This record gives sequence, C-alpha cells and structure tokens, in this order.
Amino acid sequence: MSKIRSNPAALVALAFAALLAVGVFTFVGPCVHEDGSMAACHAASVAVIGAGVVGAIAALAGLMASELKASAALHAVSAIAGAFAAASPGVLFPLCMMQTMRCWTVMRPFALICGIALCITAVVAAIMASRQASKVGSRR
Amino acid sequence: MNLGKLYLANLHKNMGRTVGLIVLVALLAFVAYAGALVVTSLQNGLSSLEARLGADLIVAPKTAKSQADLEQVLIEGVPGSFYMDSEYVDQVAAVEGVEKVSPQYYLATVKAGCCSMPVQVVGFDPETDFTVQPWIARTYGDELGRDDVVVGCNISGAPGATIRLYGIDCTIVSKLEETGTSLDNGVFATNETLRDLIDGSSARGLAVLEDRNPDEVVSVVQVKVADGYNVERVEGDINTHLRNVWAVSTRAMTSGVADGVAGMSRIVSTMLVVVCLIAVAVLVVAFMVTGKHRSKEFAILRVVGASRKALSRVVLKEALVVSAIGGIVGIIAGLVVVLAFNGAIEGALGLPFLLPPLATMVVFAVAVFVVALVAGPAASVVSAKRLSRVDPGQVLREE
Repeated sequence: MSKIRSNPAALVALAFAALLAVGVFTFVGPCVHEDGSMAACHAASVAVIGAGVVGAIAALAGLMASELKASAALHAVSAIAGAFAAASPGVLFPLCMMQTMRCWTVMRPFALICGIALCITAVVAAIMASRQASKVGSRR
Repeated sequence: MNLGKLYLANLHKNMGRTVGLIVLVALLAFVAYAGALVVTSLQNGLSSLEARLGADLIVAPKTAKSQADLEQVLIEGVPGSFYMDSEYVDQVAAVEGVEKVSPQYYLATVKAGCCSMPVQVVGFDPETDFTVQPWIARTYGDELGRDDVVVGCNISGAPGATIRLYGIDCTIVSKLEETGTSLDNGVFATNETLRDLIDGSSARGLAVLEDRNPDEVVSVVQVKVADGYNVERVEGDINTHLRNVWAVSTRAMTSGVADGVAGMSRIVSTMLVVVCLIAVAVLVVAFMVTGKHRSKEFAILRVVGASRKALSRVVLKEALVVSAIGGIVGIIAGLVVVLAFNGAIEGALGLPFLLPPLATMVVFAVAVFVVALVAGPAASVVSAKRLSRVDPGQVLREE
C-alpha cells in the first residue's frame, strides 16, 4: 500500500494497460468472421492487445520493484508500450477499407485514448520513481 | 484578517472531497458539451443531406422498392443495384414542368475476401449531371478519365492509390470532403467507367444486369423541376403517365430523416437537462453536507477575527476553483469522446452526422465553461451563508 501511495500514477498506468488489453480482446475488438478468416485489421488488434499486456506487466513490475531506478525503467517500458498501442491501428498496422467499420469507429479511438493515457501516466510514474531514487541517493 | 490563500489550502487538505466535487462538475460539463455537439452534428448532417441531394425528384424503377429501398441507398448509403430502360430518361424529360434530367447508374460491389464490404458505385453522365459534379468540383477540378474514380471520405485510400472493383483497377483521383451522408461511403465515376465495371462483373460471373445491355439501362433519373411548377404536381404527373417507374420528391425523403433528427435531438436535449439538474442538486447537497462538517473550522476562524464576508468568500472561492477545474476536465473529456467516437455515434444513431466547425466547438466550450463556473458557486451559496453565520460560542461549546 505504501508503494501505491508513493506512486499513485503507477496504479493508474496499470489500470489503463489492463483496460487496453481486455478491451480490445473483448468489447471493442474488430469484427469476427463467420468463416474463421482473419480480417485485415487482425494484426492491428493483436498488436494492441500485446502492447496492453506488456504495458500491464511492466507497470505491475515497476510498482512491486524495490529498486527505484529499476522501477523507473519499467515504467518507461510501459510508456513505450502505450505509445505503440496508440500508433498501431491505422499507422503501424493497416485497418479495413471502409472507415465506417468497427475497427475504425471503435477499436482505433479506444486504442488511441487508452494508449496515450497509459503513455502519460507511465511517464509520470517513471519521473516520480526517479525523483524518489534521487532523494534516497542524496540522503545516503 | 487576510485569509489569502486559505481556500487553496482547504482544497489541498481535503483532496478526496475536492476530487469528488471536481468529478461532479466535470460530469455536468461533459454531458452538456457532448450533448450540444451531438445535437448540432445531427442538424449539420441533415442540412448537408438536403444540400447534397440536389435534385427535386428522383425517378427509379418500381423494382427498387423491393430490391433496395431508395431512401436507404441515397440517405443511409446501403449499396444497391437496380435498373430500368434508358428510354425513361427522355420520357421523364418530356413531362411538363421538368427543367433538366440526368441519369445515374448504381452498382453495389460484392464483398471481396476478408474484411472488405460492399460499396456503392455511382456512375453519372458528365454532360448532364447537376448533383454529383458540384461536390466533386470542391476537391477535383479536372474531368474524370476512364477508370478514374472519386471516393467518399470513409473509403480508405489517398488520391493516386488504386482501388480494385470487379477486377478492374481504378485510380482514385480525389477524395470528397465529409458530408455526413451516404456520399461519404460512395465511389463516383463516369458512366463509361461504370460500363467497364459491369463488364468486369460479367467476366467474374456476377451478371448484375442479367442479360440486359448496359448501354440501354439506367438506375435513376435525377430531375430538376422548373421554376413556377409545383414539385408534388410534377411528381404526380410522372407517376400517373409513366409505368414501371416511380417518382419520389427528395423533400419527402428528407422529411423522414428530419423527423428522426428532431426526435433524437429532443431525447438528447432532455437527457442533458435532466443530468445537469441532477448534478446541480447533488452539488448543492454535497456543499451543504461538507459545510456541516466544517462548522468548528469556521467557528475558530470567527473567533480569531475573520469577518462573515471573508468566510463566505473562502467557500465561494473554493467552489469557483472546483468548478473551473471540473469544467475544463469535463469539456476536454466531452470533446475527446465525441471526436474519437463520432463514427461509432453516427453508426449507432443511423442518421446523417456532421461535426460542427472548430469555431462552433469553441463557442460551445466557452458557454459550457461559463455555466460550470456559475454552477459551483451557485450551489455553494446556501452553505456559504450558513457557515458565515455560524455562532462560534455555541459550536465550540457543543464540541
């Protein structure tokens, strides 16, 4: 609990990363084809889910790490995962032809908002962890 | 006694209470701003649809009624293919009151492989067209060549890219501006290109025209009624004198959409008012409840010399800061949600949807911010008055 109190941004980053992975896997994911074929946006959805999982693991590890510099580095990884998730649909990976389809109207904005929010909160968490590391270092 | 920055210290000291109040004001601002944007976007979409339709009447084959609802094709952008003999073009032109006519050809592509979906291809006659070319001219000034297409804003592909339709590679020469109507989902080409596509469909065993000659059919005839003639009268004349076709006025089509927009706007506006009233009521209660818990604090301030006016000002300043922050947060959240999910909102509503220009969004944001800024202090007035009139002796004796 004291770790969460000293760095609440880390918990918020963890929440956004988890929301990203679970959301795209479930309620905001792309269309599912009846014949089992993969959609053009499938790679983008997998990339976002992967980034969410990586971001969540990094944020959790950063929260639990006893070494503050390591914690800061892990939060930085989480921030990169957030940026990757935001850039995946439509930029790094293609989406479907029609911009009225679900991948454009729901998945992409969701990934953009959650990815950017994860990036910002993870950066804040990394900065807070580094500052705490500096304070501990200067006391010694 | 100068209470200076006491209001800021109070807000910082009770962070949980402060965040709760900010969230309440943010909710009020979010609902007000997002609601205003949605209602305005619906009205913009309707205006765009009315401007875009262009023609006074549309004449279609009677089979269009069963195969594809003409309103769905023109307004909702549901792809459809239906045809009638091209001789009807001259027959319609000969009806009294008709100023000009222009044929159009509709072709719905098929789903080709994974994740593509049918799109509406619209072929027009460049010599006579008066409905599509004015929109194309906004983004592309040259004539369309063979197998050149102009696409709506929802079709992926930049100018210069190639789009394959019925096995024919077509070059995208321009992309239309967003209209919030079925234009956004369409592919526009000359009738010459459309004949290539129809031939392509036949080559792939998808005979959209069955055994008919593509040079002898059209899908619809767009009609402009001459000045001084009644549109409904001309519509009636066409329906009376020409068999196997039916004329429908665009005004009748859009009136159904207008009713839908009006109904949805009413629902959204009502929800907006109800949520705002509830939020203000909850704010009043929240300030009164927190005020009760702060009687001792204010009694001590009175004892050390703070005036009633100063105490009132502390409470009102706290409410002002909470309102300002909550208002900004709510407006930003509303803007992000509506901008990011406007495609999903449009799909869910099933109505023309066109976001207002930036200037309008800024005006709405300022208006909602002012409302939020007033709501907080207004909700705290009763609490401020009570706290400023606290009897220090009585309160401290009770403690």
